[in-house]
Amino acid sequence: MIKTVEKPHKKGIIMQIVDKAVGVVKDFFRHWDKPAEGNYVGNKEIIAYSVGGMGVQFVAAIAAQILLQANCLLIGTVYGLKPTDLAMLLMINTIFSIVIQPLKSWIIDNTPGKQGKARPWILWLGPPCAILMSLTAFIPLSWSKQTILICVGVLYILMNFIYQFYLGMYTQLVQLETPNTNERAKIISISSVIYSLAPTITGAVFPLIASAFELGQVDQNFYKVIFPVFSFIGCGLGMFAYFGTKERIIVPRRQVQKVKFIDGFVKICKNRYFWINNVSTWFAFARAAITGSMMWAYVYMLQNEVIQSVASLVIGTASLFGMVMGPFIIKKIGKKNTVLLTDGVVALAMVPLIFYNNDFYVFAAVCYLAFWGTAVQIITAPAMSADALDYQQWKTGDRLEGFSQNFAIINSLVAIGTNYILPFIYEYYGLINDYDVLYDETVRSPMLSAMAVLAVIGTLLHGAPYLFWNMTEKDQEKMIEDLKHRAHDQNVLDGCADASVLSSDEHLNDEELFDSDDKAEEATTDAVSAEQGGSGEESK
Amino acid sequence: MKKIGMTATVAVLVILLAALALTGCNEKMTVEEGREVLSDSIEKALASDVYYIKYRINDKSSDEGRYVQYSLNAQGETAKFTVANGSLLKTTYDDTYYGKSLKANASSKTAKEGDYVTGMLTWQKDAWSVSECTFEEFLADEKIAPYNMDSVTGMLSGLGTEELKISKVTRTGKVTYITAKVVKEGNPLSEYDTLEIRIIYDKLAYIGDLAETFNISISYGGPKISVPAWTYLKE
Repeated sequence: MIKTVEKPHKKGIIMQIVDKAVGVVKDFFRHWDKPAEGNYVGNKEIIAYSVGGMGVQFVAAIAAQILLQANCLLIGTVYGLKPTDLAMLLMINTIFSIVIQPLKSWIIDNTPGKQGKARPWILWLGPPCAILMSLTAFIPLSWSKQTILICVGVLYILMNFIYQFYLGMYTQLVQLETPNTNERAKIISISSVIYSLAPTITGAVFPLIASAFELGQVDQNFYKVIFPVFSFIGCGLGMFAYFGTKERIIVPRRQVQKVKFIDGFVKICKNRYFWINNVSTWFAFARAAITGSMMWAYVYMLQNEVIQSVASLVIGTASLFGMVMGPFIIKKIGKKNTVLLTDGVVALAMVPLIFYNNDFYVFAAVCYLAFWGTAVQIITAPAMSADALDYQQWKTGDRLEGFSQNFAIINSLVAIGTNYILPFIYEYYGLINDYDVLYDETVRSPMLSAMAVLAVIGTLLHGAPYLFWNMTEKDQEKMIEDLKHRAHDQNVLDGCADASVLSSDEHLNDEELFDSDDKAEEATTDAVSAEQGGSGEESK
Repeated sequence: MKKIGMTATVAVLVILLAALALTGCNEKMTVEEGREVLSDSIEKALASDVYYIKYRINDKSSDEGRYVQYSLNAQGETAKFTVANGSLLKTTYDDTYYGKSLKANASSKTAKEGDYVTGMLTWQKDAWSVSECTFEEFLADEKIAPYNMDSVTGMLSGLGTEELKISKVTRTGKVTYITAKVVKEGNPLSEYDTLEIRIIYDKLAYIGDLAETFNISISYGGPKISVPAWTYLKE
């Protein structure tokens, strides 16, 4: 009898995709509370962080309507303030930020309570942020320009300080949730996809709400509605990031960090990676010259609220693709090369706008690529900041989240000068205090070309410092292993060998704590070789 | 570290030099040159059939900060004239249109010539009324005439050396700034003190007094105009 052997049934492609998807979902819920091996954060916490991020982004969407820039419809068109007056206010704001920065850094590094360095601020700063934002929409138009300028200035300075603090703490939280750099990139990627729903919603909904008002997006009543509604919704959702997360930095149980301001500042200044990250930000203003004018393109060039809503939704996908693709690109070519690649793409994308400066669809396409590149860097920037902090801890034994923000003082000093460049371009081409000149193509088009040139130069300068970044992902991993060993050894010396090496008090098993003794020894040797310009300092 | 420092220094220097170079673009002009530029700019303004004039008067004596703004948005032979009465509490609008208006029960896809009326549309007693007229007649209407291009440019047109006293003329980029005072009797601008006149891309763009009691701004482009359909014809 001939036996018939059945060939194994090959699943169709669709079934394979379905199986894969089901596998991903099952895996997601398997690690809902308990993280996967090698990771520190369960998926429930990632979702809480992400939903909190949506709240923060709703607040950010309102903050984006209150910029001391000529292309801000409320401050520029509605309140009718001159670009150079706004630049002066920005300078005052910058000086205030410089003066208050050391206090802010000290506050962060000495956050009261045991809830961590970043989480409590998300809880405390949301409500005042929402209140100040709301007030900004209610300045009477009948007041003189001088009075409006003063009111805008005072409200902006207070609001911006609190908002930047709030936003910064949300961004910093992911750096403190896990010491695993790849896990950080994953959390940033997932949360970015989820929280980017907020600007997608506001981008689509705001024009439609505006169409209910006589003057549309240049009607003050429009802002009187959206500011309180969305800032308070955002503040409420932001609480998820507080209640649903934990901070996990690697520290010996009994470590008491006391770093004098000058010592901390000197240490930070010797960290090349902080310099690279911060010098790069000096040119962000130029890079954003075009993307920041998206509202002008909608209001003055396109003049169609329905197409605007659709365009907003489509352009919103650029950020989605960027954030989803980010971790894959990083895994393939590393964070440094990802930054260089994306800045190259964005710079190239701006070039057509120099020549085709009166076509909304060219403008939209340019912005699509620019937002894509920026979205990828939403993942690399905080991840690389965290790497710089890990390097600092490995090198000197200090966690300097607060001190690292003092770099903002240097950045602010540079910004005093650069803040005048765009307003000068605007006024050079005829945009003074009557923003309706932007309806005139003769005024608008050459100005857009000039801004595109500035954006190309700025984007290239933004990427240039990263040519000097020489820490790879493997280097960072080795440093973390070394830090775990040191923390454990210190706990043993302090008589609390069973204590956790994580600030969240979560215990790691031996396998997680000691990936391998070889790796730890390797860390000591190779991490030193990651240093540039001489031998590494002995760790404390 | 040296390389980073050098790169950063070079970048900052480049930006600062660029900023300084741009700042050096302020050019002082003579009064005569200013008059010539002003005269040319008025000619070019009159030749434009697309413009958006906003004539705003602020009532500085009012505690409620009252103001009134007359806006004339002309896009070829379609126009919208708006009077905005604003105060601390609210702003009311009164719109008048000129253009081709479709009958209320006609579809734009199947409309014939007879389904349109060209004229002035005003909102009266909860409905639109249309009176057929030419565009010139619309611009000459007594409530619109003071704010059309002829009237606005007419305040500065043909003024002699003694009637328009120019004290300063500068140019930055595409903008020429003229500081002046009108002393001609009967001229509406003579009741204001020092005026700032701006000419952008060789066209008259702004007249306003430094005390911010009034200003006129002119842009040569404007928001799209959607002429509403009419419900009955009223002569």
